Amino acid sequence: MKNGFKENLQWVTLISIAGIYGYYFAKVTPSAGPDVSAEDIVLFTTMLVLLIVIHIVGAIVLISMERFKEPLLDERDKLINLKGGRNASYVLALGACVGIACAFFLEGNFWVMHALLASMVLAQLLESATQIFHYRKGF
Amino acid sequence: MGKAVCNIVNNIRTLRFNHGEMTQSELADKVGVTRQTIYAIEKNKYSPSLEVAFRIAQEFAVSLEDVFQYQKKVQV
Repeated sequence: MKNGFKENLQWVTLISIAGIYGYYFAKVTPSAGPDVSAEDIVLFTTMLVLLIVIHIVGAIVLISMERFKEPLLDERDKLINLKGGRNASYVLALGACVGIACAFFLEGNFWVMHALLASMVLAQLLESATQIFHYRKGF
Repeated sequence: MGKAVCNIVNNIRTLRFNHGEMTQSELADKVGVTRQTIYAIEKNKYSPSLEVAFRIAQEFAVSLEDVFQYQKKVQV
């Protein structure tokens, strides 16, 4: 069966976030100092813009492939979305705790910022993976 | 002792066949959901809301029980 719009969009999200933030963390963590450097901010901003562009282009391409009569989201999509959001919230909460621990025990802002960023990235990856799982398996 | 599994099964595939080989896309358009949702319902992977269930039954001009049946299975 051909995948739906929402499932395909989750694949775009999963692959683009894993690739872009995987590259970002691979670049910045080996040379980690106590504080976030100007180069880190430039790279982060570049990656963020790239991610937004990929998402917009991906969504436009996917929408253009859909038939106009068919709704892009229905009740099943909304339920699957809620399940993904619930799992993501656990990772975000854990990330906030790790960020607080970093603020207490580590010098500078580098690890606080990156612990929070990593939790946001992992939460989004888990949300997309959960949604894809439920689209495939059903519930 | 086996684990009880509740399952809602349906006759949508048969009803579509009896209504001039209606496609999943056509039914989805009439009911107002995506084709993927109709596919998931047909394969018993998703139990629709009451509203969607009634709309499907209405589309085939049958009662809800003619489309959906509740079955209690026991897994061993």
